[in-house]
Amino acid sequence: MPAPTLSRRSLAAATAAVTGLAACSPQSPPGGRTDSAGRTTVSWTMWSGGTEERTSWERAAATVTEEHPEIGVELQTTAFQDYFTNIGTRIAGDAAPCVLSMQSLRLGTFEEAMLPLDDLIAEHGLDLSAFDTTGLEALQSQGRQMALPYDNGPILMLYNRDALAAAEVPEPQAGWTIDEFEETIRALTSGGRFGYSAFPTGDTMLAMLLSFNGATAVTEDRRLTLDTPEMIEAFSWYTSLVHELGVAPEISGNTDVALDQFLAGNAAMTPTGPWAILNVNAQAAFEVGLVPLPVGTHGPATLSAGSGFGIAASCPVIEEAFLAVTSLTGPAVLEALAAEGRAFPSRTAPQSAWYANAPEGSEAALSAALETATPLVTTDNWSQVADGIAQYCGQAFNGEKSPGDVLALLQDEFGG
Amino acid sequence: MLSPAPRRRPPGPGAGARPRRRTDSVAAAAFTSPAVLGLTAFTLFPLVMSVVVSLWHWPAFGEREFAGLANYTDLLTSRHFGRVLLNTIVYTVLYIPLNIGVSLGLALWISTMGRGKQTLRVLFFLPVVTPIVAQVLVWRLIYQPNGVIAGLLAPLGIDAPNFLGDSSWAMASMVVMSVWQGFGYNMLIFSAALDQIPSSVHDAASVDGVSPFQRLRAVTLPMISPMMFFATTMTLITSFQVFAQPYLLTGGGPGNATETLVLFLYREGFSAFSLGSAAAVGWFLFALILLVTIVQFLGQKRWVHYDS
Repeated sequence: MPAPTLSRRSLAAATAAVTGLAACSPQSPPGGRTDSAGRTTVSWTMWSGGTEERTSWERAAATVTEEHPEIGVELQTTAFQDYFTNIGTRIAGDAAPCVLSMQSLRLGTFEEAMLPLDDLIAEHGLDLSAFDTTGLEALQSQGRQMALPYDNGPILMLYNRDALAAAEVPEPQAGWTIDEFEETIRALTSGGRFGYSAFPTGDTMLAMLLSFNGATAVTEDRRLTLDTPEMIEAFSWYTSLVHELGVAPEISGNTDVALDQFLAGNAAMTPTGPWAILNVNAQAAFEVGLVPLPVGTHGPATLSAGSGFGIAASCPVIEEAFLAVTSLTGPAVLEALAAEGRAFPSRTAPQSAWYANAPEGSEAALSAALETATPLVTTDNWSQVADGIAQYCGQAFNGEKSPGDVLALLQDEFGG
Repeated sequence: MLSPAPRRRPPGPGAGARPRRRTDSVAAAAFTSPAVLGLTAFTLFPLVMSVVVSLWHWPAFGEREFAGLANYTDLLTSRHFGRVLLNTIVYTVLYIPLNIGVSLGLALWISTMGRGKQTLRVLFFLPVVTPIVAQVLVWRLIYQPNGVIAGLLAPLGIDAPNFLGDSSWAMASMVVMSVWQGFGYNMLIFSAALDQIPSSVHDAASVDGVSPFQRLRAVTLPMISPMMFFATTMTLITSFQVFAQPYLLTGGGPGNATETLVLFLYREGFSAFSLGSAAAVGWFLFALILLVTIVQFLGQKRWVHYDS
């Protein structure tokens, strides 16, 4: 008798069964769903740098459910460096979340995939006057509100109070000039330590260039203008701090180490935004001071950036997603985040909770800076521009290439 | 004695409709189906899709339009891509001889040892199994201004260059780090191959009065030439695909001094979200590796000696 073997019929039957089972599994639309009990789950992506941060965001998600019991928020976090690659890929793969965390700098790239919120804001009668206007503006595109801000802040100068005291250098005050800035950092550069820490970035460096002579890298209508005479002049000055005056350490590699140099005590001053200040304050082994950026030929100016939450255009549960967004940017969540130092709130009322934990003099410095801050408008290929700035500008800082050449190259490559 | 009853045989052809003899082919199909399905879904289908995507302007989100060979011609005429290709070839040309040389040299050295051989094999293999991110962090500390190398050279009065920030040093620094990371793998292969050479061959050679260097050239190397061919081919393929080192160590900088093909591909695909262009870059990489591997295989007749 021949050995038992599989017949074609049984194989066909088995294949049909497996395919049938696979097809039967529930296909939930990505982003959100409402179950039969009327409870909606909305997915939310956010960047997070560790378990502590993630816990804060989980608490925020829980607050949404407290305020709207029929809505549950499913939080998914990624490291900040990978976040925009991650959501870009998800959007391309039709697996976008409902609530999207968005940084003002990347709005240009992702606004196509997001839903303008103006109609929903009008429908729900949301009071926008409680928000900081610069925060709201930062997340607008072509007059439409693309996301509601949870944090916003101007770029400021941090300084090491202990180092200044040791070098007997007077502490800078709001309104200090570029010349005073140069004098200060020159006085602080000695014995292998530098007075300043610079790194080519799309935010802090551009804020310093704006402060120097009003040079802007991007126009109001999101066009890149890196090679204007003002930009070249400002960039030449900024790079000369490293390779000519030697008051800032050499640039090496493409990781922004300016804050690390500051924290390690190798540099006495560095620019950054409020999103980093409380972390720096907690980690620093010295007293940290804040002051608005030095004033150049164009009057006091700085750039502000912020982040917020928007809704993906592919979201199937838009109403619930909007309610989630309003909770996440509501007074309760922002007060909690401000107290933890997680964000400088975009609502004016909770800002005092942030100041309570901030270094001395923060309120004066921040208010002064906010008055002169303009939102950093970016192009729609800003990820590439920011990468390009980090990749190519080092050569100008190290004196290998002229600043004009580097800016012309960047403009050529990304100005398109 | 009764003769055994004749066995019943199934009727021959021409005796009417009947099923063919059952074979195992259906069972074989069933058992191989998971592997075939996996291969189709995760290898063949993406390959075909990659060709399709490369013929379109395919942004991650937005309008997609058919472009024909436009992605390929744009790359061929792009100076940036030309530089990236050159960087990849320069990296390979620097990396392969160093890697093979160091791994072969060390394998030859430890083949003379007795007890220390195993320990040294493990030690030399450690960089291969260490996560590359951790290695990059350490090497950055070594290379940075006021880093380890600068600190070692300072007392000698030598001003260390900015290894990762100076265009003339960045590629070399990356190659050195890659050699340190990768030599252990080939060393292990060569070490095993050297152990397999029968000692009678070595004895015969020394009886013939051959000097150690001649013995190396005429006996040892030809005997391990199949393994050398394998190591060279595999290392060539992986060196064309280098990504982690430029991405983590220099970001392709300074300027585009260390931007390699796969880093360029990644940026095209996930930073610029221009998937059609990225797919085209992938196919250029394929063509390059295929060409080099064909040349390798054609050349093997000259220098690879298989046991007859």
